[in-house]
Amino acid sequence: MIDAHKLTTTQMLTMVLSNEEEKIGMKGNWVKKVAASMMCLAMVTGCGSNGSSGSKEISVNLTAEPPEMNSILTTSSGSMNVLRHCVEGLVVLDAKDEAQPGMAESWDVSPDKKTYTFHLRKGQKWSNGEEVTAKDFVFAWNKHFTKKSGAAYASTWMTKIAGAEDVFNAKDDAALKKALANAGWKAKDDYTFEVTFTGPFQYAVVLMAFPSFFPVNEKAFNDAGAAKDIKKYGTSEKTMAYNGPYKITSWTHEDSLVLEKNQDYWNKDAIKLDKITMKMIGNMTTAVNEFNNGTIDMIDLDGENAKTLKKDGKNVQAFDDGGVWYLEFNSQAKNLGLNNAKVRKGITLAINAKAMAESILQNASPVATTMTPAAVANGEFKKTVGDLLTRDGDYAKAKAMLEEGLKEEGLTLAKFTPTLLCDDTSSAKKQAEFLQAQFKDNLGVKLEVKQVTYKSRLDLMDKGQFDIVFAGWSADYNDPMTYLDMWMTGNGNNHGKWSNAEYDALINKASSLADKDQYYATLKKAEQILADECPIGVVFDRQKDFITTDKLKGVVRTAFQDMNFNYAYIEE
Amino acid sequence: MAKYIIKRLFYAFLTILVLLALTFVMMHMLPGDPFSTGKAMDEGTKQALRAYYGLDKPLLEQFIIYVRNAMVGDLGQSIKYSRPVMQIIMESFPVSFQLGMLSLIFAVIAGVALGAVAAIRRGRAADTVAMTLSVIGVSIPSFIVAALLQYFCALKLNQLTGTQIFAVTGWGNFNQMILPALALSFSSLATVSRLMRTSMLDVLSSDYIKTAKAKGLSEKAILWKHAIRNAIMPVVTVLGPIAAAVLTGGFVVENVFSIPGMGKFFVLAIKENDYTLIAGTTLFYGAFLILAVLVVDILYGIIDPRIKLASEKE
Repeated sequence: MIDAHKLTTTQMLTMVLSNEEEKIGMKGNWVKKVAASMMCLAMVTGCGSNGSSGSKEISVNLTAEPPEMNSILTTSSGSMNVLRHCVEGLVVLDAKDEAQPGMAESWDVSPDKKTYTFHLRKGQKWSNGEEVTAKDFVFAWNKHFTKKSGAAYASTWMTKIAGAEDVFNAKDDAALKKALANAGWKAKDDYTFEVTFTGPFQYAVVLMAFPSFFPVNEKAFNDAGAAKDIKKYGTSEKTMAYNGPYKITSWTHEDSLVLEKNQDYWNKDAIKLDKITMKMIGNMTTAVNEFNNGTIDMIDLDGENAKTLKKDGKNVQAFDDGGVWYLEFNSQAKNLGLNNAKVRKGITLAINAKAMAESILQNASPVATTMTPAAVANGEFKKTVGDLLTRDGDYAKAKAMLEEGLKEEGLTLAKFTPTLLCDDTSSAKKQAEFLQAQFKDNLGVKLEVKQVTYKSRLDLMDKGQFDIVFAGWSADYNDPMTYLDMWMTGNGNNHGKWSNAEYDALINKASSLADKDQYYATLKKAEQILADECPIGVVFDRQKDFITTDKLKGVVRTAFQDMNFNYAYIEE
Repeated sequence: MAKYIIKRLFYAFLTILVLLALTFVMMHMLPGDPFSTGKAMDEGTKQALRAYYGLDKPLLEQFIIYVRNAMVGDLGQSIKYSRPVMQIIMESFPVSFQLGMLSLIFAVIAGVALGAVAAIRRGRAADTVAMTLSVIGVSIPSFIVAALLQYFCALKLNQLTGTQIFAVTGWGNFNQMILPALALSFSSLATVSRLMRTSMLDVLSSDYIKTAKAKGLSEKAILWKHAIRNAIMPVVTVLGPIAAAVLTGGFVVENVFSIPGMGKFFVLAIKENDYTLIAGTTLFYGAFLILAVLVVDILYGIIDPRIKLASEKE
């Protein structure tokens, strides 16, 4: 209705404008001439500026400008979506998220499964003409784990790689030098790179596909002026070197990024596309218009647009993006009894998870029954663990559990008024409203809502100044550990400061197990504790909707490779 | 004249300094940490980053360093993007400027024409239509106009004709510029046309127009040489504020048409607590607007010689 009305006003304006101009006489002719020439110009420039038909070129929506293309520093999934195509690590992930040879053509594992020796391909070229050697890996890793570089991921990875903590915590230059010399990563020769891990990790090889572990060519790094200022590397297409399937040939900030096939890449015959244009369209409606216009081959969708396009019979797809969403409870909030497991679990069970996924995401995102989603290890772990937190929809039982817990803490339901901390965005508001209704209907509890800015919420969470937050977590690597070690005592991501000695012991034990079955069995016990104690009440595992043109095939989208076009092709 | 300009420039500098100081204090009062991402970060890494951006120093010292660097055009490094703020501005401002100027030109030409016609045909159908339009123009927010133009003039027109007359997104080609500029000009066009109409009515009923008529000058000469030139003065006056509005207000239109302009950085910088980007964009726009007002003041004197600039009175 509104649209139709607005249309007529716009049309009216154009009509009236042309009328008025005629009446002015002289001016009318002039305006007409200009308008006509504008049209001609538009038509001339309009043709062929976009469009990718007939060739092996595609155009996709990256949604936002990648903040940097510096693999040593980046934490941005947008940046990783680009890096994945133009820089290659020791291994690459295939469509099933499993490790396949990349810059390393093979690798050996020591009997204790802690030391890996990667054998690099010979004659691999960086785009600046240098050869890719083991030294490029050592150089990048050294930079990554040096605290001064300010790499946010360093503290996540340093516990996993031998000697990395010493490098990170080195007090002065002399100590740093010594720590680097003793670090668990070494170039045995130009083509042999050795890594020692702190445990027999199941995910050791897969981890090498993560951008923090990518090689960086020292000459390219220095040429970019990054020796003095590390942030100067990878700020434009010219200030970095490429060794992957594609090269960035143009990067118009905030607009688009063009990747063209790298003819020096070792596996170039497997690369089917010649050119990928990544656009940065942040507005969803605009992206949909662009897609319907035929000028872009893939865009991400929200639930609402996915529904509409599906109704039109379009090629809408979805993938588990590895994001698990949960209520995070502040286990230190004794005044509210949130230190009591029954209180936390009662609340968790009172939330209709299916309805929440349907209402918030408007798609088929599954209800979460464990912290680790099925996206991990191709569902293998989830299958082992099964459904641990099950909701039967018996809200009276949930309410009774909450009341019992409160009673144990000397509190009553009548005085139970927790506050939900959330962002000031419209989607956060929607989540808050949904939870408010659930609290009211299923528990008879009034949920207060405190809306703050995004950065302010993070700040309050870090300081433990909250009761309940609706938050999410996505994987860093393809293993349940990326979802489970964060709930250990003292972990910075454990905002509610929940602490369970048995849980800590299980996670530590799992980290030392080389046998996969034992490893999974141990982590299953940890998952069971999470389901019983509910430091977090899991709600849903997010699915992301997207759409591609019918001709674009082989796009890989998983929880660990948000966008991968290295296997994509155009169907003739 | 030169003396006047120097004096004004000095005041402008002071104003900018005060603006910057206020921005500095306020942005550091924003809750939250620029480095937090929702994923725990080691305190040591955070300190290293703070040291890198000079945030470990006392605020006053940070301010002095900032001003000193800003004098030589160094606005620091963005925290969110690993690029110098100056580079971000130099890349995105020209785009916003082009968009703003294009829409300003459109608003002035169409607005003056519409207003003049409405005045000349006062009380007749043309007048009613023009003024109804201007009310609508003021009331409809630019993002709706932008979305409608994009949907109908870019997407639907392309589907209908099979020719991409206007692009859906982007910037650079002429076919990408027209729709956004139109969308952005809508409300200023309305303002200009109303102002022009009022002013034109005043002028048309003034004595010198009657004299001109009595002298037997042609209708055309009266309109072009006497009426419009005089009636346009108030429009020139609001040009400054309108220019400011279209240059800073492009965010929504830029967002709809995915134009790599500067608008988003204002919003994003504050959302991300990107201190250097907040200070840089505020400083740049502040300086730009203050200078724009100065230019308008000087232009004023040129268009109407009767207006003397302050210093020339002496």
